[in-house]
Amino acid sequence: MSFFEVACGNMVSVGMDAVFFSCASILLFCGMPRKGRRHDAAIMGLLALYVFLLSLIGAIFYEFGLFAWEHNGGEIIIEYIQIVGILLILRAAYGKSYGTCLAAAVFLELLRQFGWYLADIFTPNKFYHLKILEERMEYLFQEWVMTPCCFLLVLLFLYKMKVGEALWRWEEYGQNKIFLFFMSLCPILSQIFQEWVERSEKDVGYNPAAAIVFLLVLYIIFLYVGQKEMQRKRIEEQTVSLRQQMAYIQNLEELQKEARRFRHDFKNMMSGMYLQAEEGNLEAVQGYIQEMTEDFDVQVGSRIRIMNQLANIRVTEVKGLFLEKMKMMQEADVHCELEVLYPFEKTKLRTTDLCRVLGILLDNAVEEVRGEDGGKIHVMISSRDGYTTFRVKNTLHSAVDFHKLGTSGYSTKGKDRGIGLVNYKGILAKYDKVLPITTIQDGYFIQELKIQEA
Amino acid sequence: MLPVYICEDDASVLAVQKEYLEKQILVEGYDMEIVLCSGHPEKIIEAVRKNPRRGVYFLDVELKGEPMDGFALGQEIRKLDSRGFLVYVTAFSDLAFETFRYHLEALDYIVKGDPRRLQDGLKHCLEIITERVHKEKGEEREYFSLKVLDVVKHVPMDEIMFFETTGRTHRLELHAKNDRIDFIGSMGELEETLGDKFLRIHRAYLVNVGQIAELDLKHREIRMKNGETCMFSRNMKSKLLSL
Repeated sequence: MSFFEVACGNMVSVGMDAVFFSCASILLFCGMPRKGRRHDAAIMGLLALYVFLLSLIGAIFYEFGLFAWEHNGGEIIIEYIQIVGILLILRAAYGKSYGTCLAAAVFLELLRQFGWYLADIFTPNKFYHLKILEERMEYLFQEWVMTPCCFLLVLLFLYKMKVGEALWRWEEYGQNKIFLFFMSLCPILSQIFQEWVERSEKDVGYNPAAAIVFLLVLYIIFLYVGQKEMQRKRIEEQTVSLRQQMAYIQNLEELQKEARRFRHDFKNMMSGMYLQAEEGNLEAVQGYIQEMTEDFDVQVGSRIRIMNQLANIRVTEVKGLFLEKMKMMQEADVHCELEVLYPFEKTKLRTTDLCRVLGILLDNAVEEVRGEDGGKIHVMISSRDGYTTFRVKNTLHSAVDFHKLGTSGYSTKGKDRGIGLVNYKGILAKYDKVLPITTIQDGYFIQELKIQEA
Repeated sequence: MLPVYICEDDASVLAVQKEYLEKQILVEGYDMEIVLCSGHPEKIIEAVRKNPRRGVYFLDVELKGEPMDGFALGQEIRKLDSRGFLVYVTAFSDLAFETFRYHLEALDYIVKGDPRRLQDGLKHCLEIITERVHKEKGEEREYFSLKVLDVVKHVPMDEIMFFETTGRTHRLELHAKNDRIDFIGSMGELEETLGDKFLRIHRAYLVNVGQIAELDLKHREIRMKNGETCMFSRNMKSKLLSL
C-alpha cells in the first residue's frame, strides 16, 4: 500500500477514535465544555489537528518499519504520542489539572484499545480482497458499522458504571503521585505483561491472563457490592441518629413549654401568697410554699433532673437511645431514674454495639417492671478513671432461674423468647476487658457492664 | 468504739451537726465518739491515716474551695478504711446517689437545707449504723472478695457454686446463688487461695464442695445445688466418690 493509502486508512480509524474520545470524555467529565463558540471551534480544530498528525506519524512509522521493532517499540511510542495528544486536548477543553488529564488520557486510551479488541472479536480473521464487491461490503461493514457499535457498547458501559462520578471523587480525594506514575507507565507495562503471558503460554502451555482477568473482575465486583452495602448502612445509621436527635430537641422544647406554664402558675400563686402574708396568715403561706415546691418537682423538676443527667451523656446515639426508652417508659407508666454523675464521652465499644447492648438491658428491665405495682428502674452510667460502668437495676416481680439466664430459649416472658441476652453475650464476646455482672440483691435485679477503657 | 469524723466547709452547718451528733450519741448511748470536725478534707485523711480503724464519716458532697470534693475524699478514706460508714451531706435533694453507693459503698445521704431534716437524717443514719454493727456481730458469714476492674465485689462464701473458665485467657466466671460475675483472674491462684472447701474437678471448673448436689458418673458431670452442671475429669472421679 502506498504511503497515501496508509495515511488515509489511518485517518479513518483515528477519526473514529477521536469521535469515541469526545463522547467518552463527555461521560467522564460529566458534560461538554461550555466556554463559548470560539472555544468550541478551537477544540474542533485541535481534534482535527490531532487526527491529521497522528495519521501522518503512523504512516511515517509504517513506512520506515518502526512497527517492526522488537517488543512493539514503535507501537508503544505511538501510544505515548496518542496519550500526550489526548492529554493536551483535554487540558485545553476542560482545563483540569495535568494529573487528572493524564489519568483520563490513559484511561481513554485503554478504553480505545478495548473497543478495538471487541471489534476484533466480531471480525472474522481473514484477508479482504477489496476488489470483490461482497468482500468490500463486508469490510466496510466491519469498518463503519461493527467497530462503531463496539465503541458504543463501551460508551454504554461507561455510562452505566457512572465513571463521571468516580472520576470526580478520585479528583477530590484520591489523587496520588504514585498512582499517576503507574498510569503513565501503562503502555510499557501492558507490553511487558503481554510478553510475559505469551512466554508462559509457550513454556507452561496455558494462559494466565484469563485467571488474572477473572480475579480482577471478581475483586471489582466485591468492591462495588461492598461499597453499596456500606453506603446503605451508613444512611440507615444516620437516619436513626437524626430521629434520636429530633426526639431530644422535642423533649427540650416540651420542657421549655412546661417551664413557661409553671412560670405562669407560679406568678398567680405568688400573688395569692402575698395576700396571705399581708394578712399574717403564716400557715397558709407555708402551705402555699409546700404546694409550689411539690408542683415544681412534679411538673418541671423531675424533667429538668432527667435532662441534666442526659446532658452528661455526650455520645449522641446513646443519648437518643435513652430518650426513646424513657419516652417508652413514661408511656408505659414505669418509674425510671437515670444517673450520669460524670460526663460520659466515649468508650471503646463501637457505638452500634453499645446501643444494642444497652437496648437489650433496658428492654428487659421494662418488660419485667411494666404493669407491676411499685415497679422501678434505675440506670447508672459512671465514666471515670479509665473505667466505664453501666448499671441497669429493676425491681424483680417474677421468679428467675438465675443460672439459666443468657441461655438460648430461656425467658420469663414466655415461649419463643429468650434471644436478647444471648445476643448480649455474643456482642460482648468481641471485646477484651469488658465484663458483664448479674446480681439479685434486696429484691432488685441488677445487670452491670464494666469496661476497662485503657 | 467507732470514731466519728465530720467534714463540712460551712461552719454553721458543721456546728449544728457536731452539736446534734454529740447529743444523740449521749442520749442513745451509742458506742461512738466524735474525733474530728474540719472543713478541710486533707486534715480528715491525715487523721484517719494516723489512726486507721473502722469509723463513721459525715462528709459534705460539695466542699467548695477545697482541692477535692466529697467523692474524692470518700475514695481516699475508703483506701484506708474499707469497712467504715460513709454518709454524705448535701444541699441538693436529688443527689445522684447510686454512683456514690456503687463506687464508695456509701451508706446514705442527708439533705442539709432544713435543720430539722438534717437532724432527722443524722438520727436515722446513726440508727442504721448501730443496727448494722449489731447484725455483723451476730452473723459470722465468710465473704469472698473479688476485684472486678475498679470495684470490689463481696460474695458470701456459702453461696458460691463454682468458678468456670470461659475459653478466653484469664477470663473466669463466678457462679453463685444470686450472682454471676465475669472477671479476670487465674484458676491456679484461686485454687490456692480458697483452700480445701473448693475442688478443681476439671481444668475448667473449680467447685464448692459444700454445694454439690449429686454425682452423675455416666455422663461424668456433677450437679450443683442451683441446678447447674459441671463436667469433671477422669482422675477426679475417685476423689469425688470419696466425698
